Amino acid sequence: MLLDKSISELAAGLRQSEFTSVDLLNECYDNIAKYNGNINAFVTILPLEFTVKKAKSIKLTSPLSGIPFVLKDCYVTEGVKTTSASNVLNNFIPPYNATVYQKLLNAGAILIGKMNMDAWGHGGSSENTDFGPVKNPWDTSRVAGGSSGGPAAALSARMAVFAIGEDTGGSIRNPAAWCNITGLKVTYGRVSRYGSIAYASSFDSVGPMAKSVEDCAVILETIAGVDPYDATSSPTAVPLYSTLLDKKVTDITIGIPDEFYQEGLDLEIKSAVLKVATDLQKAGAQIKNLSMPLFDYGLAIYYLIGPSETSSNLARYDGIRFGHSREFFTDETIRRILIGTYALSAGYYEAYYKKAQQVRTLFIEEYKKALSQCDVLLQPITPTPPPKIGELMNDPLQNFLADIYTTSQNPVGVPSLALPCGFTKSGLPIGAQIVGPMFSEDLLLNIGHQYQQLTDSHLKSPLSKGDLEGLKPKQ
Amino acid sequence: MSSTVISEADVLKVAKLAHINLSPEKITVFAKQLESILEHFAKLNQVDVTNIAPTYQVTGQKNILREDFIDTKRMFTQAQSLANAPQSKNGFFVTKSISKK
Repeated sequence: MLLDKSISELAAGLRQSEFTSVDLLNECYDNIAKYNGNINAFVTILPLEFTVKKAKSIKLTSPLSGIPFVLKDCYVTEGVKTTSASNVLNNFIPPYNATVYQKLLNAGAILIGKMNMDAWGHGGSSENTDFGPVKNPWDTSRVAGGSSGGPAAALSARMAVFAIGEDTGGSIRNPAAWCNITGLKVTYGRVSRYGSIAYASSFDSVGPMAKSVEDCAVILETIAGVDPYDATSSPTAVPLYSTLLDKKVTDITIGIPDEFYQEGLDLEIKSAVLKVATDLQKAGAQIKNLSMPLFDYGLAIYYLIGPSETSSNLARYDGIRFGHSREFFTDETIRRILIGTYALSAGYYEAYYKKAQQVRTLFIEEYKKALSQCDVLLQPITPTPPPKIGELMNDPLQNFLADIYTTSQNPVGVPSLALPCGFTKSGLPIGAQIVGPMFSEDLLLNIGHQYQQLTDSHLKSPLSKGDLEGLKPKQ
Repeated sequence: MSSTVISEADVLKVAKLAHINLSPEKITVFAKQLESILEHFAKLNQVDVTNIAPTYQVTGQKNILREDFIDTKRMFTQAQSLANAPQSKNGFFVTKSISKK
């Protein structure tokens, strides 16, 4: 399958006329026709006639020219319905483009779909959507993860070459781990948020999801950079990440923070994640065990500040200029609005919101201290393999606790690369994350790429498992 | 944060502030759920934050300014502006009146 190839292989093939962009589109749409009925990864599929017409007019000016991709449905796209997977916006046709989308359009990439997710990013399983849950292609009785579940499931079932996800508290990394996809939560401000429907404005990070680290590097160098339309985007220079992947890891020290490997972490996941360290050690890296005693407070910081910011953002939705009324918010969104409004309200502001922002300051120091003892931190992404559909929805606090390892980085702003690192005995994907200092994407991608030279587990697709019962097209 | 008990009256009040309409049944459910979540947050009380400044953003930047000019690339026509509106009249958005007659 062409869609098993890397972006650089596809770019070379297109230039040597071994195949065309239309061939790539046909493979994507074939897999969509076969599998999406069951997996439910898409909210909107762009018509094939439209994308083929576009593909035929594309000039090969960049490595992404002619490459089909998908966007999480939180990015506004001119003329293409954008819902954030909420019925509040089920009729919204944006009149402008998100910067990340505009940059990909300029590079000649071809959008084929807008992807299912937890509505407004509120969730870690892609079940809190008004358009039906996303199912995990590795086992369709299980969740795909979230909130960028649609993008991850689609890539894993080879319905597109790459995706743009959005990560506020693990929303790229969690579904990447559960669907065997590589994904990058960038440093806050590395990629413009303009046109990204906001969840929590001081956490939201726009980033790539793909089959490999190498692909993520190519995408990131296209989408990163300062944007006059997003005052929080960073003027820090954008390296050519894809040219910085080959350095050996012999100078690298990998920190293992003890608190991330304690009670509550599935033992199969624990050993798979720690094996990433020993694999890299064989390639010359050093390992350092260390402690991050404040780790346990991360979740509370996240779930106070995140809902506070979302309640403020969503307070502005009035359904007058676009979309439907606030009656259409789902329970999970209402819960987060209520928590946030409560934490920000007179009498509780000091005790909850301000307190969380103060502990956030200490938490940032905690990460600085940990990263002064090593180059990167190796952490698990999820405490468990993907749960059965419906399991997480029953208990809101348990639902929050599933995010314990991925809500730790967003209040700090540091980047984190999600890497597939093996499978459970029952065949479910496992992911690990490596976390570095602010703007260390070059280092994370370098280490991640070196790791992916030692393993092929990231290249495995549920399709190669053969005639999977769960993946049979819906009758 | 000494008491984390949230009453149904609190939920009703917060819902009103947030312009969310809730049925009495939902208020009961949310009050219970929020209570267990707020109890989890209470662990922040274990951290001494005396003299610790809050962090509101992590960009390390401040006072991002731009030239004061009209960016025509970001302008919509009246038709574009109204295209998604549920109700419009004579080129205006239709809203509920906020003042009494």
